[in-house]
Amino acid sequence: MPAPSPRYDDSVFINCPFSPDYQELFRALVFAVADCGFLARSALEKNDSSETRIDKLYRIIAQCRYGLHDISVTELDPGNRLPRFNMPLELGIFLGARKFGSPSQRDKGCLILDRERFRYQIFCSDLAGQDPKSHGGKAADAVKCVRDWLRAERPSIRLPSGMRMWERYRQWMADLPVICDALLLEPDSLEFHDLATTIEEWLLENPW
Amino acid sequence: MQIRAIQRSKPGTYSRDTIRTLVRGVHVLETSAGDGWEVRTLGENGRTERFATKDQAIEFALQAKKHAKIIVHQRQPKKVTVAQVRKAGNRTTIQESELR
Repeated sequence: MPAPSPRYDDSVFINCPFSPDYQELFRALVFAVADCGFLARSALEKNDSSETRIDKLYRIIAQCRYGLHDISVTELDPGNRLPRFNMPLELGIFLGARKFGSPSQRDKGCLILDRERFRYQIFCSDLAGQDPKSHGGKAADAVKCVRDWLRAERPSIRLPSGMRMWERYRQWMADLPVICDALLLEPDSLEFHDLATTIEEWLLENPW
Repeated sequence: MQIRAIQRSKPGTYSRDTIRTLVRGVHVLETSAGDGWEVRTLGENGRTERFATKDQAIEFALQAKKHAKIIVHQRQPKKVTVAQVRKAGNRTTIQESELR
């Protein structure tokens, strides 16, 4: 198991789909994590071809105390009629690290998100007792879920309400095309670290 | 009760300084119809004002946010520059350099 990062306690692994139709939810999750004062980590971080994808996941999960797992996408691919299993697999790795990992891994905490609160009982009943939360497919509700979860993890830190955080996200989204225009980029094709840096700098300039 | 601090991720394709300049800057954008220029400040207190000429827009941008860089977005040909305004008496000189 790789050594935990020095920022282990502040790091949140975001496990979610990367499809274009999930992009708004993904960005809202990254924004909410950052606005709560945590560091968002993702498998979309820079690729190193010498590292296999699964090793990259092991490394990032080992470096994050927290995990945010969205298992809401269960639909069959229209082409091959098969579902994608990456999100449940990564959730399993995270739960395994917490159960069987070194002592520093055993204080891991996670939030599981789905579209409907008890839907997981149909397709992943072993999650019973993990208390998944529902975002209803809405980015605003996902922001609120993340905010409430991380607020409970750090009760000594003051945070604005989920609604206020959502309004801040919308303002950042309105500003993003101007920032991307200056960088000669399309807002929909930002590399993960550029996306995270844009959010972090925007938040530093707009404290609540 | 503490206020949360913002964590900083590793740099991506663009340096943190470049992105900070853009977030803090005042943006002067050529309108899509090419019939004017907009001055836009970003953030929760951001605002937008419209002008007929680029020089008018840059003059306004200078007043809108005094210590920020002025980022000029020209549409045709596509070009992004940083404007520097110098005043000597009644004379105003605007120089544009490449965004770094």
